[in-house]
Amino acid sequence: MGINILPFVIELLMKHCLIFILFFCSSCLFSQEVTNTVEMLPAKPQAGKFTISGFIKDSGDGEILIGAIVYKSGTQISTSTNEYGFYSLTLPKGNHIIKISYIGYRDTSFEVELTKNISQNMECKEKGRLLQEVIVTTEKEDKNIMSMEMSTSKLDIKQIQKLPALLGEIDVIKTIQMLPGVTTMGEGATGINVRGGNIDQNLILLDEAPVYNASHLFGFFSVFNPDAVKDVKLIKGGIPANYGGRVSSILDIRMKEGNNKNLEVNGGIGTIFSRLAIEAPIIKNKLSFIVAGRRSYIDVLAKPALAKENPALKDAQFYFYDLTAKVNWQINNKNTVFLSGYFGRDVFGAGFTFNWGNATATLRWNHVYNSKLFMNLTAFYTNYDYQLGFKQEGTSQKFDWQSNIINYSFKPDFSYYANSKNKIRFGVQAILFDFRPGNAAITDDQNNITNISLENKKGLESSFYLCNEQKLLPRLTVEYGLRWSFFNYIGGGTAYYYRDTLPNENKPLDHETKFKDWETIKTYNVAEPRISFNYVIDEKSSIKVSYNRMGQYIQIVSNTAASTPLDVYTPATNNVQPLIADQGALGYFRNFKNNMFETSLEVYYKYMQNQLDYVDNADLLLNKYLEGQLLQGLGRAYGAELYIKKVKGKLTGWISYTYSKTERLVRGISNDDWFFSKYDRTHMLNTTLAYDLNHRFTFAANFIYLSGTPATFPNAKVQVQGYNIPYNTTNTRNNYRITPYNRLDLSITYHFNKKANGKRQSSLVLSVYNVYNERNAFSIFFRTKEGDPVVTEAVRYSVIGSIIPALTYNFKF
Amino acid sequence: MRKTIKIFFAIIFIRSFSSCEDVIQIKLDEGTKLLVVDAFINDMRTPQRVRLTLSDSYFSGVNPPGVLGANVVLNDLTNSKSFNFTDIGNGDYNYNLNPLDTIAFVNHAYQLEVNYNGFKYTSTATEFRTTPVNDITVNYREATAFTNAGYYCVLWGVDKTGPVSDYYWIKSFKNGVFYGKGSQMNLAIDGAGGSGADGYLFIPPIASRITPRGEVFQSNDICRVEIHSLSLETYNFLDQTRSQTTNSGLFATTPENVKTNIITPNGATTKALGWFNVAAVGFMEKTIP
Repeated sequence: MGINILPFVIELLMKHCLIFILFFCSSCLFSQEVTNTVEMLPAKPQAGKFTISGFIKDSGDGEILIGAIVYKSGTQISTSTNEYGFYSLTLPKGNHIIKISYIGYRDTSFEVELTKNISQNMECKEKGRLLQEVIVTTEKEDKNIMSMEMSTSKLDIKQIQKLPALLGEIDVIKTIQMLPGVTTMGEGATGINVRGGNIDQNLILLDEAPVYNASHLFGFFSVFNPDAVKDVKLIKGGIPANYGGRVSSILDIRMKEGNNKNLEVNGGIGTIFSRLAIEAPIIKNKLSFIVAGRRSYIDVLAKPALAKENPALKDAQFYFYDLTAKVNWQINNKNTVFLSGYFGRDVFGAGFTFNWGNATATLRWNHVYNSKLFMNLTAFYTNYDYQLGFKQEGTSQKFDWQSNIINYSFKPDFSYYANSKNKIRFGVQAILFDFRPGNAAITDDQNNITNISLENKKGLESSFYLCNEQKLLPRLTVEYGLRWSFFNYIGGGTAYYYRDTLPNENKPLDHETKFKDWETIKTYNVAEPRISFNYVIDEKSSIKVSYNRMGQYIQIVSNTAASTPLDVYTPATNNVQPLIADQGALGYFRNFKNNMFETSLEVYYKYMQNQLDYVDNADLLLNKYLEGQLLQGLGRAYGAELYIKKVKGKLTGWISYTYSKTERLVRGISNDDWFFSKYDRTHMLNTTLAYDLNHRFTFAANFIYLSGTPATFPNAKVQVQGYNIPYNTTNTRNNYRITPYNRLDLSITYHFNKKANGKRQSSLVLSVYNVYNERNAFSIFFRTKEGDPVVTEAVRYSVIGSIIPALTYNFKF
Repeated sequence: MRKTIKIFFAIIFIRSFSSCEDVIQIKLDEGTKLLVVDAFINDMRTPQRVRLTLSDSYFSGVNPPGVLGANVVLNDLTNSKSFNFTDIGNGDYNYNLNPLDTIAFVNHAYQLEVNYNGFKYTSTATEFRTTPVNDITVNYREATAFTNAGYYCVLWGVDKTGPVSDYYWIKSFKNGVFYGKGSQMNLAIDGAGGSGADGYLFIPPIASRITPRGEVFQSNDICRVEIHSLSLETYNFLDQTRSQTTNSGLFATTPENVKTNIITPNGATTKALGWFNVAAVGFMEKTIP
């Protein structure tokens, strides 16, 4: 099929990428230090035009500001800072007043005489807790109207901190579940479902390294320590070409760099766990770090009670911990290096061991070539692993199992601010996937070990992209680009080839072929065009349209309602086709009352190919013939999302409403007809509000109403060998819905310090989760009544079946 | 093993969060009636039974109605012998054996014929080898946080080695009553719960599960263990039955319909479900001291 040249293309690409990098690197590391305002190296000036560029930071702690608007006063000529706080603005020769606007910060301006390209770093001062209502700025808070971004939500960690949270612990993922288009199976389910996508279709990035299992304690908390998080952005549609690898969303979480001016300590003592984060400069304004850790302590508190109840439980383990750290070194005005990492584990054990966790490490280098060309070079490593072991006391009999998914990646990204009308981004990425689905062994009573391990699988994903954000007309901006991704499923290992059979039957094995290390087994490529338009109607409103195609080469293998920590990923193989999604979205954005209210109405349609499903009674774990049990089908999702956000004043928060439909079509399932996906929710209403009463008290509330998820209910009882087997004679999947979900949470925060932006801060948060004690169904299942083998009954299973109050003490100094 | 993990997850949830289960009333549609053939034949010298029922509405609250007036024949294809089963009038069709005789032999192929409403439903099965129960050991244990005080029986038996995997259904009984809940179903592939244990002594969760979770034996109780041989297809059917009858909680899988090996003839208006297997059985009984 002519695809055999692809490995060479990839090789070429990689070589080029390397040459590219070497070329850039050789010229620029440790170039001479520049002072705050300097003449920039040659970026060819356009006739009579010069460029001002630099970094925008917080004046208090030196943290870079992502997405700050930099503009020429009184005009529409503007730009915004990128993920590293860098901006570049090209203006005609002459005197200009440049303003910087960033929500929650005082407007900052400076005057500049442009006779050459100059570099100008700026710092902005944060407004206090209650100052936002006092100063009503009128300019440039309409970023949501002007920017290309659509189907995108940015969360302010300070806003998240005000909201009521489960067991008093604020959580990034839990807050994201309140956004339009985002659902979850319910409490205890890990991950998020975005616009009808499965949980594995979200690229969750922590400082650019993907996190494969973002939850602690089976989904009750996420792995992101809020004390170390700086910026959270969820992109559901109109996904720019610099992102790829997952089809439904990008959750881009950026860690703080660490206060580079003063020592800062944040922490909290809560019901479930405690947190501590320390950040400080090592060299003021140049080199800083942050270290943040959390550990749960139910086990420590419960140990004496457990030991008393049963000595065997003395050694029971159940806890989680995580550590997040980052070092940031601004070598000079042109070079900054970041090293960040995360390590966390959940540990359970009582006569057996079960633990799992993620580790990530990211090394980044920002380089400013000249006032128009910016590079970020990232190398990352990520590893998700779990271990499970059972042992029979007094014998040598035991079972041990370990599984990993490891990625190594290298990716340079460039932004070229060509002129005031064109901003070009390009880059390449290579990811090496190392799947170790199961290293397992059984030891018998004679100490004989049988290895039942599965072979490791390897894959290489490489891609390049080029896109341009172009101002076509004063009111019309377009961003267009292409990402082209390639995937090589590579040896060493065995590839299994199956014969076709009836749909929903195990495919019979035809033959097996051994492949040598690094030998190509199968290649795929997906050309992923991306385009979006923003037409600004007036300063208060705009219309945005986007289309994107996304390719995904790895999928989670799981047929359980909530994903378990034991689930493994499969790469695209000779049997598994890559997942491809096409999405179109249309949105109307409008702000009211001097940008006090931001509203948007979006509609989307998404079509997905090659989604995984499973034959009946599939055996997904430690099964080397797994691929013979996989099915692939189509998915379609569409919906409308209304979002009303109040960003200023004493009362802040949002209301989001989503109407949506998500369906699947898989040959062999549900009579070969479309059926609702398990996370289809017709109506979703999320309200989250915080009210600053005065300097002392903040009140907050969440209210959630979600339509019940679809479920397959039986309509017949079949009795074999005394077992009452539920049976659905219509053979349709998800033919019923469980009851809707609704919940109210409240919280009160008491601030011990009157001065809202003082250095020392402490507060006490009383939160109540599930205030009116709703027993929301996670699922409804069917069983034979205990003690009466002829009677069958339906049972509602609720993960949280009561009110959960919690008290948390937070401090900062 | 997934089962064990599920149970552990359940314990964590019950203890740390207030997860709960409530019996609720819901209205379900009525499905079409299906002929259910329950034909698990074995080589024990006891009366053999095939049960025919019609599927019932899920919440009927009674045993499904028996099918009367059908005709059930078991053919030993290897020996060219036929056994006619007698309709005893409640859905059961029995073959009353001479207690010194058996109708089932290892490696013989069998065909089941059910004539119902003028249509002949058929199925075939081969009897596979089983392995004997070498011993049942009994230990008294005090109560713990998760278990009751009482006698715990453990099975000692060894899987037969090669050349292909053996599939077993280990049935245990207390005073003649079968531990017959879905959650108590004890299946083995060779000596373990999955492949890779050829020739093994039955490993712990399987060997100890003859005393099901939450159950104990008391003095003078009789513990009986039977090891039934299964075909791979029967193993899969029982495994699917187990998961569909215990499919609950956070990690429930998508419900699916159990398979059948009963062939519905062309033109029959009633579709057949159910299963046919012929098993060799190793067994032992022990009285608790």
